[in-house]
Amino acid sequence: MSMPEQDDFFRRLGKKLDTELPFEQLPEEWANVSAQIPGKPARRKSIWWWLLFLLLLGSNLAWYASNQQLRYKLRETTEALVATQHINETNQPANASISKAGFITETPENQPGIHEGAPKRIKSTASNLGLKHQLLDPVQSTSDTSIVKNTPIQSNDSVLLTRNSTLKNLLFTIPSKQFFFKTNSSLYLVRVPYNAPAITVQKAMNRPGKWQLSPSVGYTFLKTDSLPSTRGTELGLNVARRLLGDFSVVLGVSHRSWQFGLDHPEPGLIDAKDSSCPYCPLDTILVARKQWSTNVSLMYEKEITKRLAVQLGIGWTYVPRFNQTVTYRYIPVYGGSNLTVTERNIPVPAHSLAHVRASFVFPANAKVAGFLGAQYDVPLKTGTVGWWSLQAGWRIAL
Amino acid sequence: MIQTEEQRLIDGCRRLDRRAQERLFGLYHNYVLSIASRYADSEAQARDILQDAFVKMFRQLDQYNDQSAFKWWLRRIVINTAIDHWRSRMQNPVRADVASNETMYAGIEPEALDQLNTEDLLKLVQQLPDSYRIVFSLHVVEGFTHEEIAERLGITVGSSKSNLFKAKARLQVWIKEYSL
Repeated sequence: MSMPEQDDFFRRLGKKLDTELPFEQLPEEWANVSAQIPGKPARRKSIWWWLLFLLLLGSNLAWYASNQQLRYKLRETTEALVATQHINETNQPANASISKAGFITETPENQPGIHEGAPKRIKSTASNLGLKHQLLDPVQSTSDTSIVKNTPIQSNDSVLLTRNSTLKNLLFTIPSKQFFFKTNSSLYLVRVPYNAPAITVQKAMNRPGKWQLSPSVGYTFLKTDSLPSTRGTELGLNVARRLLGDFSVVLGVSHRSWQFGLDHPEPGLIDAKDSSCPYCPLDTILVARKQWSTNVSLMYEKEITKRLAVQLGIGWTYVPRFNQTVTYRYIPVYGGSNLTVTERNIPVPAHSLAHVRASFVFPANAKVAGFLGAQYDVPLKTGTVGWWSLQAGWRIAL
Repeated sequence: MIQTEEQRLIDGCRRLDRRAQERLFGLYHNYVLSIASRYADSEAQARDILQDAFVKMFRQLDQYNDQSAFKWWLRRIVINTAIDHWRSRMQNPVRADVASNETMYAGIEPEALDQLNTEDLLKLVQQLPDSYRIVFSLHVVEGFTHEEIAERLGITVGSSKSNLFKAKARLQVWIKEYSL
């Protein structure tokens, strides 16, 4: 080989040697190194964060479970009330009950023994729930919920749940928001919004055997500052500011856009004209909202791979006052006609929420990264049951 | 600015976080051992260099300037540690090596290099005498000049050139034999 060829040969050789090779890492190597350098034991911060996360999850599940239990008990009470009246009227087993979904459905005629002992159940169940059950004279106004008569339940009397603090607190946590009970001549609709300050009793005509509410009877909703429920997806832009270690403060702007399901319009969101459909508790209501919010979160970020990180955090969401565009579509189940209300502008008061959130961030550690996750919000003003929302968006790191 | 995993670990090491230290050790274990192997005559000796280099690195971490690449800073520490090991092994390295008599083997084909993988090549380098190997690695792999090598090793420029020449000559012979 000539000299230039030799130079090239050894240049290539040097390059080939300068390669990272795979070696087995021996346990004693780190042991020897760590023995010669100062160091503090690893902090257990991640364990505490996981414990906090599990605590939040556990409390939420417990809350949900207690809600379900209350719902069941209230349904049982309602069924018993309905059954009692039916027994009183016809001396026959009840032919109606309230299904799991909250719909009034018919049950086979002459089915014996279903509701035997119902009056006793009313008393015991209502007592267990801490409800005061009272007599209501049929000629009295059913909208007057302050009437209290400490008279024992009679066979042909109606029962009215009173408006008291115990009941109010209790009803705040009812997921179904409303339920029904029946007297011998009328059906009462008790409307219980998530965060209403009180309940409203709604009178409607009853057609025996049909268990159908009359659409001709108007009713009023309580005017409240209740917050709209916001289940659904949420699009957002987050700006993350990295702090020490794995923590960061995330400032965000979110846009909640779509909400579906068996939702219910909040008090004050529907006027008397729209109330011609009193079946809304029985109907499927498709709701779409447009709403902007801002949020601040303290996030703990853990890199799973080079391309993916997971974020867990707690924070605060602020929704400024603005006119919210809401689209409702009612699909009546029992009677009535299709009623579609579109593009209503609803003034939403400014409010704030606490939230916990979990997101995937991709690519991990990138300056501009996408995120996909879920957030659980709880209204701070009322502290009532919150809701989950899915999140998608992008994050810009400062 | 989003921190890299490496920067987070370095910050942790500065706080003397044991877990961060262990993770940084694991992250650069192969890198450091690969460099150390080019200056050692065996894997065991390379692992000794590795341990000393990491101890040095952790102790000097406060001197590391975040603006420069950590990998290159670490590389310099490993090379300096390897030189320290060489000094402790060698009683009189220069004269012993200069006394050898080698001639450059010209019959080798350039393609012979392609028949060797890195592990085989490393084994051949490790068979070189200590003084040949260290000069060879510093010059051919790291790109040091003979003046720099002479200064670092405490030898003359002539010795550096001579050791390099002899190392190259031996390696050519061994590579030729290997490729046959």
